[in-house]
Amino acid sequence: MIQLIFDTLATAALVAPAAVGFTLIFALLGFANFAVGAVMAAGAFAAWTANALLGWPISAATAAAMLATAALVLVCDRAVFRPLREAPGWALLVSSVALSFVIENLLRLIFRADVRGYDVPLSRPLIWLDARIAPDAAWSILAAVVTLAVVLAGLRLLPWGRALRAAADDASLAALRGIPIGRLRVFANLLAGALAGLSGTLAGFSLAIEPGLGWSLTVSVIAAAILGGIGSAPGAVLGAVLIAFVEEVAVKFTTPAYRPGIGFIALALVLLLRPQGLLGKPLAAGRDQ
Amino acid sequence: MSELTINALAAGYGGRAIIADVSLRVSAGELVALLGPNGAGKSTLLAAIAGTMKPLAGSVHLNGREVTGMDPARLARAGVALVPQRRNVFRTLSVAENLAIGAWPAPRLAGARRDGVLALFPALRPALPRTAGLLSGGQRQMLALGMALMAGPSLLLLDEPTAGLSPVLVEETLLAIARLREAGIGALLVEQNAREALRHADRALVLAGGGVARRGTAAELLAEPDLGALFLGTAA
Repeated sequence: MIQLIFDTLATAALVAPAAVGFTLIFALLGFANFAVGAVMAAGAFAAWTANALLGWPISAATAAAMLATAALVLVCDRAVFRPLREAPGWALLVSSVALSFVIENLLRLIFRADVRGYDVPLSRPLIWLDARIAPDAAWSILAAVVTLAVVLAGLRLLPWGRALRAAADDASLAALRGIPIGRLRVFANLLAGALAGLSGTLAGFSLAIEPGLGWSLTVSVIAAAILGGIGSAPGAVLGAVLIAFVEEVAVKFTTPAYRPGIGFIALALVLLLRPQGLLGKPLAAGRDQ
Repeated sequence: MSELTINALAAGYGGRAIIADVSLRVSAGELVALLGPNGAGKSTLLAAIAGTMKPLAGSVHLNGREVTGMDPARLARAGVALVPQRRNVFRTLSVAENLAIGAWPAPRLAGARRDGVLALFPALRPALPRTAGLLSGGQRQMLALGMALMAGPSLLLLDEPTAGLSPVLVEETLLAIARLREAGIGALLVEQNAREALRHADRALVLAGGGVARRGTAAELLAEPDLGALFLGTAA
């Protein structure tokens, strides 16, 4: 049981940060950004560059990767999504799929298709109550918990966080109350990019760092965001934990190769049974302007 | 003193005008009722003033400064607060958070303004920690109005603030709006309940057929023998 809880948290740590960014962007900009997986891969490569090539400690490399992906997502928004702001949601969704192929192939062009890993010292798993706790998985959980605690507290307590939640609820009304929606979109993109970068960096511990790294997690990220309720950051975290639990239980009876399929089945069930998610409002209200 | 001046305004959807050649003025501390049948363009006029819809022609001036078609967020920070009829509160935020968001244009004054709003709408005080989506219709309208007041507006644009409320709450809401005149806040009030609105307003306009059919003081319009026909825009 302890092992299952730990494995669930370790998987949720990879999914939850990206899911929080995904849900805020979906609620604020009105489309599902399928490029989240490619941004995660870019984050893993940025962290690998800082850690393995430049010799930075993994904590500094993680921070650098978050900055790099924040900038990447902002550039992508300016170049791809902003010109399509008035287009229907499906056009933005298709563009995000195309963008993910562009990012993935740029990574392939720059870094080749070789599989890479971080330059971190090998260490034995800790044994606690018969559970094997890998140090890098423990680091992933710690990094995700600390980052998400800061982000969730900021969303609740800081003026820009409240404004982001308000605009995610109803962007038209937020504009009527004087909130600068354009600057808020910049803030949301930076936040979502940094969180996807964190997810990608942490995924690089357990998955091979290669340009397609994000694809195996994309469905889980989207399922977590929808299960939690679009626009709800705490909901996305809760959704990530539940999706991770379902995946870990299912993997015990099958093989890890089925993990993306399990996430897909969970996503389909959520859309069929509770499309508004656990803590959110109906999906139809997602796009406000 | 603040003043809203609208000259020959036209607005609509897809290039087709719903309202045309509408001119009006709202002075500081003045409550002007905007009456008329459904589809007359009352909400369209408010949207064109508040910047959520680009006017097709005409101009909007606030305190002598042209604000025609200005971005709604900038207009809000300039002192114009539109309270829509629907979707007028952030349903997933608490009442306290809604009020805090309302103070976005002037965050340093949030504490004092919140006290003022809670004095105007005491029913909101016990509901402060509650999620706005769980409020009753009356509480929600109070919160919507309170959130607009948190910005310290010079002009309120109110789109049917009493829609769906009980007669007691209609009276309370209109009284609260009328009291805002003492603070020098001008208001343009769209209201289905014409007689009640005229009892509290200083002046009124009747929109019909896309233009201003009648205008006058509230007392003059209340004295009309056929107020119903006037409201429907069919009076001569």
